[in-house]
Order: sequence, then C-alpha cells, then structure tokens
Amino acid sequence: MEDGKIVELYFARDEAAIARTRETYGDRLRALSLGITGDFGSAEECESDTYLQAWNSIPPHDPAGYLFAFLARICRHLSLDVCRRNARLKRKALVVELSEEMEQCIPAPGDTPCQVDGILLGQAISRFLRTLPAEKRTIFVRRYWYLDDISRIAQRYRLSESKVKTMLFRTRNALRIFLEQEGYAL
Amino acid sequence: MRGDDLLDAVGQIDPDLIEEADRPPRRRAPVWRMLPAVAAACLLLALAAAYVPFLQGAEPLEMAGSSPQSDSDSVPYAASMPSEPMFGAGKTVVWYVEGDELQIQRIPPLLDPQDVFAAWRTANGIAEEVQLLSCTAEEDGVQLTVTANLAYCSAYTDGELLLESLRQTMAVHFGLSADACQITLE
Repeated sequence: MEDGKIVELYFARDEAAIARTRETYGDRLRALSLGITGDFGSAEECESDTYLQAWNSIPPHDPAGYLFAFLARICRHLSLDVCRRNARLKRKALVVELSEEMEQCIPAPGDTPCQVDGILLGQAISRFLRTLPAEKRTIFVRRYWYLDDISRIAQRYRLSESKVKTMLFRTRNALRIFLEQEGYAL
Repeated sequence: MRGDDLLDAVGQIDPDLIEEADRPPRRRAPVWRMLPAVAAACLLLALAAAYVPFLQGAEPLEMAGSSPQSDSDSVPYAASMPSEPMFGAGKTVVWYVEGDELQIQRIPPLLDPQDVFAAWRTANGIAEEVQLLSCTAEEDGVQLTVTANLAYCSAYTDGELLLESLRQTMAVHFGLSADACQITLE
C-alpha cells in the first residue's frame, strides 16, 4: 500500500494503519533494530513500540512523503535507548564505539549534557552531508545512522575495510570543521 | 556535547538522506572487465602515434631499441619532415626535364633512395648505367654521388636542369631544401 494511503488510515484513526505499516515496513524496521541491538527479542519489542509511537504522533505529523524514514527514525531512537540501558547486549560495545567516533566530530567535546537542540544539529548535519559526494554521504549514514559495522559497509559498497575506515575518518574531520564554522564549538 | 548527543543528533537528519542510504548502492564494474578495453585503447593510440607521420609521407618513427643506421653506404633518413606535405600525402615526387622546364610527376610512395633515384632516372629517360653510388648525410644536408656517365646525358638535355631535377627529387624525399642536396659525379 502507498505511503499516502497508510497515512490517511492513521489520520482516520483506523487501526488497519498499524497492520498496513507492518505489512509494508515491518521487515525493514525489524532488520534495522536487529542491526542496532543485536537481539531478536529486543528488535521485536522496538518494532512494536515503533508502531505505537507512530500511532501517537500521526497526526499531528504528516509523513506522507517519507513514511519509512519517519518510522525508521523512531525505531532507531528506541533501539539505541534499549542498547544503552541494557549492558548485557553485545551491540552496546558498538554503540559506545560509535559514540567515541562521533566525539571526534565535536569541536569542543565535554561531559556536560547537550544543550544544543538535537533537531537543529540534525539539520546542520544534513547540510554538511549534502556537500559530500553520494558514496561518502551514504557510507557515513550507513555507519552512524543505520549503525552498520565496517565489514558490512565494505561488503555493501565493494570497498576494502581500510578504505571505508579512511573515508569515515576524513568525513568525521570534515564534519568537525563544518560544525566549528556553524558555531557549534561549546 | 558528548558523542552520544551527536549520535542522537545524526538520527534527526533529513528523511531523504535516510532513504538514499537504504537504497542498494550502484555496483562498481570489476576492474578486470575494463582491462581489455583499456589495453585495446592503448594499442590503438600507440599505432596511431607511430603511423600518422608515415601516412603523411615521412618515415615511420623509430621504435624503442632500434638505432639509426650509420654505415656510409646507408641512406640516412630525414630527421624531421616538413610541417606540411607539399605535394600530397603518401606520394613520391619526381622532377624531370621537359624541354627547358622542370616538371613534376607524382608516383606511389617509395622509401629507398635507390628506388627514388631509379624513378627519377626513368622519368628523365636516362639509361640504367647511370647509378646512385652513395647517399650520405652531411652536417649541412645530403651528399649524393652519381656515376660520371650522367654527364653524357647533357648531350641531349640541359645538364644543369637535369642535375637540378635530381636535387629537387632527392631533397623532397629527404625533406630538405634543394640547396642542401649536393651532387658529385664519380
């Protein structure tokens, strides 16, 4: 079913919206959550919670043109929280590793909680990503949005792992410089 | 700001960037598939570079490993061709005496100076007993040594014009001016 029609079901408060969403995007959402949490039980939980949050947020949101991205964003957020809360999850190490990599992008990293609006920062990162060639951009997003590991990215793009690591390292440096120029040095 | 904050902020990037990274990447052609095309292109370029001057009437370029002949009886090749073909690409030009004027005859291309001399001899109606004994490169041009019986030909034709026709014919063959072509009768 098309995204527009599914969103219409949400607006009509028709519970068929959840079923249609599960049919259309359930596999992808589960795979996304599994990639982050590394645990089938947690992935199914996150998938279900995603539908609940989508039901509660549509309306007022109207993601007719980007329903998967909207759902995936919710799913990612939930999966990351699960990963951080549950120290027993193996993927927690990956999340820690990614957080440490992201620290390299921060102009002035510190221990204080972020007082910067996450949405504005997300928009700034989007502007930065649009300055990159398509391959570099998608590799960055696969690593830090989809939380793919290096070997998976290398396989997906038919590159060596060292090339992927080098590409990400340079992109992180470029992001740091970009954020400095945007005034995110805190 | 901490790495976790930035990792969360990445979650807020624009939906189209999320969806772009979820699409299968464009497949790179394996390098080995391009090798035959690259090899063929290099071969064509090498052949063109070697034979384009030849088509314009010059000698083929010396290939790596060969050396110019230095024997005194050998025929030197012109070091360079005139920048423009004077009488049409791919032809040998033979000058001959007709009455009290010099005329030009274009014949299929000849490489050997002996062949060029023979063609000149035929065009001027000169007996085969008149021969080109040697053709050597000097500092200021080419030295031609012809059998002395050429002098007998001046009995029925203008001797000076005959020698001039030989100078012009050999000068064009070597890409030199007529003044650079010296004739000695021996």
